[in-house]
Amino acid sequence: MMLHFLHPYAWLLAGLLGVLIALYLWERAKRDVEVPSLLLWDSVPVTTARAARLRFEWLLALQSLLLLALIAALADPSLDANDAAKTAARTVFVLDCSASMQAREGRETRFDTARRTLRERLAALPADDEVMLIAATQQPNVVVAPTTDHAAALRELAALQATDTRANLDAALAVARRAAARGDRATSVELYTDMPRERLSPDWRDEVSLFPVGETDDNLAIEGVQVFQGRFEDPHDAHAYVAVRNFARREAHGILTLTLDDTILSRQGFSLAPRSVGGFPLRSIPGPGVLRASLEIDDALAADNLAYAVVHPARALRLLAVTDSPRLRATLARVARATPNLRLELVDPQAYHGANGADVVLFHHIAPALPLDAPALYLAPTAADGPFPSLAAAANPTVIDGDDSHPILRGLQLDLPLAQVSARQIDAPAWASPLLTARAAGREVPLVLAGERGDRRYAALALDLDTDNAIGAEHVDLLLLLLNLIDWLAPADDGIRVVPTGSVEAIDHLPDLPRTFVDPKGATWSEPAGAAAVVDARFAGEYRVSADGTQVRVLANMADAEESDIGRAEASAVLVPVSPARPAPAEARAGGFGWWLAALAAALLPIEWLAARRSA
Amino acid sequence: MPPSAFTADLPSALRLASEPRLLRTLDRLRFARQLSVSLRPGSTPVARAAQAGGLELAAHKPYTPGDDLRYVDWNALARLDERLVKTFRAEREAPLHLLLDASASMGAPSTDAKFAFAAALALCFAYVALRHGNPVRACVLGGAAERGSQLSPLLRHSQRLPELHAFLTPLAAGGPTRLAEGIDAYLRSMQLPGLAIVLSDFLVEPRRSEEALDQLRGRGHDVVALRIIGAGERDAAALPRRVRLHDAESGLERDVELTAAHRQRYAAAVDAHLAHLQTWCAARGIAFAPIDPGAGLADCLIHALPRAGILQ
Repeated sequence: MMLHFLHPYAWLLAGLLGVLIALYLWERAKRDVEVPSLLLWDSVPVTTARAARLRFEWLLALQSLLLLALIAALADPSLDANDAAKTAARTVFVLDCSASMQAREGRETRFDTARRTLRERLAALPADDEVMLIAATQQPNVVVAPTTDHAAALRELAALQATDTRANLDAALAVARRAAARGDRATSVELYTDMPRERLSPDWRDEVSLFPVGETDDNLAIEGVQVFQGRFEDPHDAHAYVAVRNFARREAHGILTLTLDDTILSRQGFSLAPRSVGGFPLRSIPGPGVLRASLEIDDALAADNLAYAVVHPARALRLLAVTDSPRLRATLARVARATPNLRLELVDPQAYHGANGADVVLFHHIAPALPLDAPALYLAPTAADGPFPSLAAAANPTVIDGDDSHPILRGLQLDLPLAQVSARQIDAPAWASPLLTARAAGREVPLVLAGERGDRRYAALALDLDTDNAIGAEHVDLLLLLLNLIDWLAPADDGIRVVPTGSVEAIDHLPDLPRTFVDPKGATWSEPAGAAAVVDARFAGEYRVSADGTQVRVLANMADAEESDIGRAEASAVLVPVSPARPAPAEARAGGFGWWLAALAAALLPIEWLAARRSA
Repeated sequence: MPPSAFTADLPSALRLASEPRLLRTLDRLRFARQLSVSLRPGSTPVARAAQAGGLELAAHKPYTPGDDLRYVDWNALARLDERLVKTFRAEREAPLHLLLDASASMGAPSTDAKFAFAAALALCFAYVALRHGNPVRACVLGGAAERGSQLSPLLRHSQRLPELHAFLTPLAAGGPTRLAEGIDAYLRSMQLPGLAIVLSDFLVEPRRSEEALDQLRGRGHDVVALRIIGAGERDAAALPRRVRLHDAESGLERDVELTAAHRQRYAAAVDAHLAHLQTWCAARGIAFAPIDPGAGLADCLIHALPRAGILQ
């Protein structure tokens, strides 16, 4: 038999008992009064102290009982005859830690508001209730496993912070659902988010108690910074473009500053109409470096007011083409002449004895076994036993699918004009991914394969460029594909990477020594040698990874329109967290007798009134 | 206890009684009951007394030998052939005796301001009397008086009213009630009978107060008894439930628990005390009126006392 109180803090009102007793003592205290004469008071009997004390105590007891009954009724007690573990409940708190939760609403951010509300909810829970805390970021993070240690949960909650990524609420709620499915306790799931209920997956809408937060749409964001610079292009010939979007439903004004490393390139004020995008081209870039775009505006969300791009330095690339086809040689020579910083060397297959310092080796038809001493591109390999085994010829291939997010296919029209181009059907090795797939002779044929073996990159192009005008004005996409392949095989690694927030970037080629990390918020930590150097870009800004003087910079941009669009006007009329009825387990409340105590208090009230009148 | 509308500070109360506005009101008042056995001529007509000479012709009477021939109405003799003698209404002094109880009970409860009010009322009475040429003397009963009473100078003109003001100002309520002793001492000082106004709360054994008033009547005074009783004394509702009562005069204590029934008993005792005093006074031709300081001086002088037949 366990006694529970739904509102245990009501017992704080028991202090009123002290007030009541103090009032009685004050009332009992005899006060001196001067009267003209006692002549007229003879009719009033003299009181003995004992009689008075007894009567007062009796009334005090009645009033104390009335007060206690009222307080106990407010505390809403319940008796449970079952096992305590079954009656105690579990509450799973899911806290949205996405970027939009950092939006300021008045004096505090949405995240702070949600966390404060969650803290109050947690503090109000009965001590034997289990709590579980899940931080919803890109991946659900179980911050506090089910526990009755509320203090520990509060500590973990205080340490939480919102990230500059989007949150996978579905995954977080799925974890919460699994906790609820354990069945050992009645479990409720509470979600603290700025996502409107309508935008939640229908699966969750009726299962979770939603604490909505957020209203303002006052946000400008740098939607993207793009540097237009070919792999082989000189930085002076590059140009950039910055897109700024006004997500607010009113006109916005700001100042956009573009800097290259520490040099300010431009600084211009602008006005943007409601829900519109503004473009800011930068036509002249003085040299290589980190291009930084920043907005000076006092909007609600700051994380998307900064973005980075990299202007790479010019770096010559040596391409060693191993082919005996005069036509391909001519084609490649024409490409090399038209491409700055691309140095072409031609060699017959019989004369090939290694890369000899070349950055990329192009094998035409032949397919030397791996490993090689340089990254290699296998062009229409014909050997059946090479790293890219050739099965047969594939005539008239037609592109049916491609991964246009891969750097090799970026910027290409995937619907390549392949009418005049022959192809080989390659048996894709397990370590290489088919990036572009075509249909030929009723079968799917991978046209572009790319992968890493050992610590080198290798790629295969099933198309045979040894045809007339294989690369020309009509086939400019094939030219771009070829250059992209070469670029991917020998990437220009200047120690700077630009990634979107939320991505996990593995840093290779660091010396096998302890490495130091610095994140955009200035936090520094170290990891021992041998561990993989991984940057989890949860915040927008610059990460630095260094080891023995070697430094890699990872620039994280929060280019996420969904997170930047922070307006939640349609979400709810309730703009501050509202507490839904606590979904207490039915069996836990079955023994509640708060109403009986309230009825007892109501019954005592007239008795006390009559007694007080009688005593008066 | 409810606060009195009147101030308990005696100098302030006396200043209120001297305000020109109140004095203008007093100019229109006079005592309804006036008695004089004095032979000193004054401005108060004395109905029962006649005098040979005077200003106001009262009547004619048949001449009898021995009458003063100066008052024979020769015109009537000539016209009617009757010897008639003119008589005149006497206009004499009507002394006013103000007997002010200064016992400690008059100072309690302090919120009632009984003593201050009684002193201010006495000053007003003196003004009314002096305005009509009647002598005034005040006597303080009890209080600091060593022999039971303390006498003021005899005042015969309103210009001497400040002397009474100065006499009353230093007074304070204190000590036991000495109505009988004080009046006895006062009467021994050969005072001429007149209008005697006793201002007291009469909170003594009834026989003691009756004895005092009887003494006045026995000496030929026309007696007026004014029972000063404030709201704090009349109503015990404002008192706390458990109190220790202190008798202001004797210092005796009494612990009581004031239930509603007890409060009613006290109110009944007050009413009985008043009723007894009123009945006793009425039986002896003594004018009686309860006076509430809370009503204020003007209300008392304009309404309460004329209603009781004391002023007009």
